[in-house]
Amino acid sequence: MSKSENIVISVKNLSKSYGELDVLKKIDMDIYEGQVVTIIGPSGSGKSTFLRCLNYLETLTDGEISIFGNTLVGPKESKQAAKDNEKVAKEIRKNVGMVFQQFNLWPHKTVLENVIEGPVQIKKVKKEEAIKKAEELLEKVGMKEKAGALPTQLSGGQQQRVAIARALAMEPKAILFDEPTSALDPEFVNEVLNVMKELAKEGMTMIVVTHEMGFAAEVSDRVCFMDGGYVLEDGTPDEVFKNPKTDRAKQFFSKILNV
Amino acid sequence: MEEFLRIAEITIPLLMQGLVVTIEISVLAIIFSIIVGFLICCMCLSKNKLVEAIARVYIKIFRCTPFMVQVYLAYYGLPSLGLKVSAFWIGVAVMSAYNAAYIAVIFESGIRSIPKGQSEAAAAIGMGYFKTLFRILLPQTVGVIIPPLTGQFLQTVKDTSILSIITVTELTMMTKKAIGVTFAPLFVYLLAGALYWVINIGIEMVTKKIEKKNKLLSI
Repeated sequence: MSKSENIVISVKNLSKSYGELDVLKKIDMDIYEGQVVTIIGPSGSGKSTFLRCLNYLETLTDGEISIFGNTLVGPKESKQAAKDNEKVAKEIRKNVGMVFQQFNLWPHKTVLENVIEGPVQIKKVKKEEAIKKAEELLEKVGMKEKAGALPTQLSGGQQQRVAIARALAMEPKAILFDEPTSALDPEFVNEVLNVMKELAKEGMTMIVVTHEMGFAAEVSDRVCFMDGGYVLEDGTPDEVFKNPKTDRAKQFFSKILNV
Repeated sequence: MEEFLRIAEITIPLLMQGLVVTIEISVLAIIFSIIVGFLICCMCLSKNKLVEAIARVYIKIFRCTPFMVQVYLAYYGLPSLGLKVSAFWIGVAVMSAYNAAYIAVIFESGIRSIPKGQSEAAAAIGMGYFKTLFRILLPQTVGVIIPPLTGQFLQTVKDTSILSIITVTELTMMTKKAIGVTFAPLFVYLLAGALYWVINIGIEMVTKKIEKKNKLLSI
């Protein structure tokens, strides 16, 4: 199941609640270097919340997340350690990129400026170097000609490819994808998935929350099915899609296949 | 005609004197209120509940009491506290504090109008609070906050007329003085009104230009 023996992301006993509502319930998961993990499941199952906890866009209620040696801790685990989560998150974010469902490109900056913002402002890379690297990345995602365009002048698929280039510009060791194709017109879905497939081939550690079952089956090393805040299935695409162990997963897949 | 020229000869120098003071107070009050308003806005956005509460109380005090009462309070209150400040600077200080409350709310609503995903994308690359504020959020709010800010600036200029009650020799004070000499209220008030109008049209032209420049930024 793993491409490498190195565990780079380790989630232990992760819980997340909003008041009375428990969204994640004691989740444990180890992710190995170079692994492509897709997380699937019905809406409201906690997939996105889980992903957002990984780079601390959501606080933890309980449990622990270790990413490349940096550990986030829930306040129930250790109040003192939880105080340092913001600092830890900064370190984690240096190593882990994120691609959002709504792209979230900065509309007042051009495509190129969006891509170089992180390297220049956060990593303090020289502007000329950052531009050179950004142009290479934009070429990679097929957006070099649009370097001077503003995000509002691009299609959804183009914006998402720029968002991937923006994440790559930080030279992350892993990328989190939060439903990267859900907001796209169907005709633009493939252009984004193709870029993601390329990244997977290059050995990037990827965690992808998605409804694209084809992508999950074809590209991922591992599929996790979530529902009600639990990870109900966790295995290779074949194991999860062809022989799901739980009734809930069977029911979910049968509905999807029947539609 | 001769009478008219006599009135103009007396009125114009007096009004020009007042105009200069009005412009000075307006410019200073606008600059200070932007600075203080921005700080109050940052406090309103703070995760620290106490810091936020202080800012909210400030806004409630300055927005919910009459400007004239604040001017009188400062004028009579500060000397009783042993502070000797000229009427001009009391005027600038009260105007700045009063307008800062409104400007803080304008800034805050502008920043809150930006979708959360914008700051999340900044956080996701490791960007800190102030960089996110200055590089990502504020540039996007310009298009949203310029119209209400312009309104506030115009109001600031008009409110300077209230400072005549504490002997600040601004335009309205000098207008009354000119009327006392010329006994021509209609002409003098018309002229004073025109001068306020010119200042405010100037402000509108400047802010329109800034707004146009940032038109592309609006989402």
